[in-house]
Amino acid sequence: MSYKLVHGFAAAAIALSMLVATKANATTVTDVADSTVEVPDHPERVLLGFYFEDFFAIVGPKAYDRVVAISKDTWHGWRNLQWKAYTKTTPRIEQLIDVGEVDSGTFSAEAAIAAKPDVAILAAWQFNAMGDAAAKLEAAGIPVVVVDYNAQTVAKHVASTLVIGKVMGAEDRARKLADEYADAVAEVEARVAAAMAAGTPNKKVYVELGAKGADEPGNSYGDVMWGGVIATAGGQNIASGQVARWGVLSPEFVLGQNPDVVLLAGSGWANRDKAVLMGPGIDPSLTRDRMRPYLGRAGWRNMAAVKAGEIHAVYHGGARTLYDYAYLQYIAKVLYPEAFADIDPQETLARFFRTYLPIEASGTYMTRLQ
Amino acid sequence: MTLTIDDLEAGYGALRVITGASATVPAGDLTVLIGPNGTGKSTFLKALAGLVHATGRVSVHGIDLPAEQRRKAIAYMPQDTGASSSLTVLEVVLLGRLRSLGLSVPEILPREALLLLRRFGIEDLQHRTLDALSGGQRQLVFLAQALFREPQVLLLDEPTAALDLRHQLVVLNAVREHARAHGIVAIAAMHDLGLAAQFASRIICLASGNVAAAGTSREVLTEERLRSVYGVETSIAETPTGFLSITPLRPCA
Amino acid sequence: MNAAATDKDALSGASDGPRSPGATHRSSYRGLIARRMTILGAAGTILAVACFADILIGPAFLNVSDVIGALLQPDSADQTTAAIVHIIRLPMTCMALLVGAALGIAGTHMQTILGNPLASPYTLGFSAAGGFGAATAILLGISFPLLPDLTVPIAAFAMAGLAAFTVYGFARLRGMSAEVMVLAGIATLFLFQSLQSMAQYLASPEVLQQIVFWLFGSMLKANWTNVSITAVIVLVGAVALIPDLWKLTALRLGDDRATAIGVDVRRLRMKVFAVVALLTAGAVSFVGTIGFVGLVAPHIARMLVGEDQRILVPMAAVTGAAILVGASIISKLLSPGTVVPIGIVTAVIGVPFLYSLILNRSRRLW
Repeated sequence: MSYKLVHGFAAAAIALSMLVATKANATTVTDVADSTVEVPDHPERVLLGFYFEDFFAIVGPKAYDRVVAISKDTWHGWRNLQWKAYTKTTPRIEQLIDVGEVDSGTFSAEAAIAAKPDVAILAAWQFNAMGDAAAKLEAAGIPVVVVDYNAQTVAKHVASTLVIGKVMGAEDRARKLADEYADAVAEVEARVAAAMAAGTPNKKVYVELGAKGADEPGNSYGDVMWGGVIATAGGQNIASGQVARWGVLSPEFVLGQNPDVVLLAGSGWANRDKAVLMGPGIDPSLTRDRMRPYLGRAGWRNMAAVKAGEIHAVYHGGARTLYDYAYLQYIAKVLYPEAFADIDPQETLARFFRTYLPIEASGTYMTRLQ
Repeated sequence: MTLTIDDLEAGYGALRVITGASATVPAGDLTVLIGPNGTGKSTFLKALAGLVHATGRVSVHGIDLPAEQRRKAIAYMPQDTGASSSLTVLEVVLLGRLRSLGLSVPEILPREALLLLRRFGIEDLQHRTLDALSGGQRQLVFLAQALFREPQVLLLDEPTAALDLRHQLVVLNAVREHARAHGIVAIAAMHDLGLAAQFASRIICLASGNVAAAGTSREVLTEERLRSVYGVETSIAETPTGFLSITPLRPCA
Repeated sequence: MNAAATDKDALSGASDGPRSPGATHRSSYRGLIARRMTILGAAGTILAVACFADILIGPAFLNVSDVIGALLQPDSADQTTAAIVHIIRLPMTCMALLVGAALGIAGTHMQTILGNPLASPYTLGFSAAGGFGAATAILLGISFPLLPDLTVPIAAFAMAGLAAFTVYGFARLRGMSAEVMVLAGIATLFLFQSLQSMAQYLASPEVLQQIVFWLFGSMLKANWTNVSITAVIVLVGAVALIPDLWKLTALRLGDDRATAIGVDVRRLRMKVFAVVALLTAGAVSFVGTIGFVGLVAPHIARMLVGEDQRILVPMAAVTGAAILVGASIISKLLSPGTVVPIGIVTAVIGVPFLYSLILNRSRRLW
């Protein structure tokens, strides 16, 4: 056992020596988890766990020249169409070291340390699920910065953006993005409040993840993710109060609630021939083909949303991002068309991509079944 | 040396099995305990060995032995259940002196154990595992284990049950020779009355929880006694070679 | 015909007599013990080699000289290599060694006190309870204020302890025999397994995935803190029963014979039960429920060194450790990218080896 104590001390000594070495030229950052972290100025070797598009937006087109390792499956696996689009413009991304994925338990602290990053930027959900792997990174002298867009709040979106900006030395761009986001959301909230004050009726919304297709009911969202967006857009989410965060609503309950609007969340899942496909490179007709079977669900024919033709699809990968206000606008416009007559959410999205991202917004991100 | 038992009472919880048994057992030869099933032969022996809670006086050579000390001086060999393991014969015998065994085993112990095995003619089996032995060989091994303790009193519970003719004789001979050679008290509980008559210098008959009779085989094994104790009609005769032959005829009405 | 005199002569003549068949026999018990100790030593050597191999292998391909350098002279080695070796690999190897040893020892004792070759440390429900404790902690998302990283292990340990008390209570009420212990244990096992299922049912998909991963078992959470705690537990569990090793050997003859030789069977069972509960809870709390090691290691050890507990218990510890370290190596080699749950690998190694030993008919099995 004393053998192990010696090595424990050795490990501590290494960690201390590394801290001393990085003291020079460092910035102090308070991240979204309220930790004060010292990161080196202008890191050139970043381990990025998630939020890949937002990173592009904040740091600029050459962002990934400064990244050495990523949690590959959260991009390549979860957002495959995005991956394809981005690797076309930035082939370097494919060469990046894969450190594994926290959710499926494949995260390798060893691979992360072996990549010798200057700083690790992780999503809050990753940090929380990693257990002491984060502590191991820190013990190896790698500062860990936590950001959180999943919380889907303006405050955390802004804070996360500013944190990344400060860490990467892209503070001006970050400030611009944060302000745009906050302003856009405030604008939506103001218009919704005005519309509600004017007595426009509250519409019931049912949101469902379209991963399994029409045959099997997918997750709905309580107060997080799309649930939060719907709430901000002034809609009445029927799942609120039924599921804590997300879960499947019973089909009977949905029929009983008789929603006025149905939102299907689609994405670019591979090998799913019933799923609602959306995202970069997807043709809107394909998306609509996948949406149509939902009308054939038992009892849906007489649903208010179906009768009014208010079946919409939104890109699931679009929530929890810096541009999710475009979806907020879209949903708000569906709920309060007059109040948002002059806003074109599709154009908002296209503008964002043009200004901040290296790819075009070509594909299907928001659409309505006609 | 004599083993004296005064008013022994023993049982399990509320069930009293032995109710006031008294006997004197001489050393240096084999005494056999007989009695019907369920009459308490095992309980009697276990009580003597201090393994079952009992009241009454047990003394050896006039010295009163409470249960704690009886456990050290008296070796009890239970009935063979056939339970097996991969322990070797030598290891089983060594276990007889459990208290002397520690992280290392004193050199002298395996040597003494081996001598004991040799006396019973089974020293070649020393590294054989228990399950590779015949019933007779097992009994000899366990007998060796009991004797390895160098007890003052040796109690055997049905040592010849399930043994073939040859091994019955071998085991009983070994016990008797050892008792004679070392001057210890040896009591064996048995069912086979003929063997009992042949080997026992003294017979104690247990019935209804106490000693119904004690004495030589001729004194105890009579047709009336067997009728009253076992409820069986028998025919008892003396063979030309001087042994008692007991033939069971039929159960009593 | 003085048998006593002949015996005495034989005894005194042992050391200086000429080479008679008796002399070679007399030293062969020592020879037997020496042979067994050699096997134990060989197994220990294999274990040491396996540990070194485990430290060498990992997703970051380090070469032998770098690893040795990092091990012996941490300060002058490349910082990243040293970090990987000391912060990640070494704790994992130590944990595999300790947990494997704990399971091997606990499995042996369990088989002895229950008198059953199918017994394992998990038979009486300790690991099912540990799994339930962990599942509950994960499900509720609770976190102890001073020791957030130890929340799940403490919950697992506490539940395992509760299960132990339950089984102990029932067994004690009914005389502490092996049969009663097994019955109470199986009832407890089913109780906690169904509670575990309930926790899984209540969990949302991501939480469920976390719970399932915990149950599969993994060395990834090893760090010096929990390695030290586990080391203490294993040490206590190993040392506590040293005075009782011969009594346990005697117990292999059955309750009746053991009692006749002078073993307090009841008390022995109680003490060993407590030690097994401690070792199992300790083994399970940090790394999850890794199956099979506790069942297979004692059998392999028994086939190699026999039933003498002084040698069997350490051998089972070494065997258990070797199986788990071997499983760790294999799981790393199989797919460096993903992580194969170590419980699956232990079954895959353990089963064929057990089969091969069964087929080797020159050995006694149980």
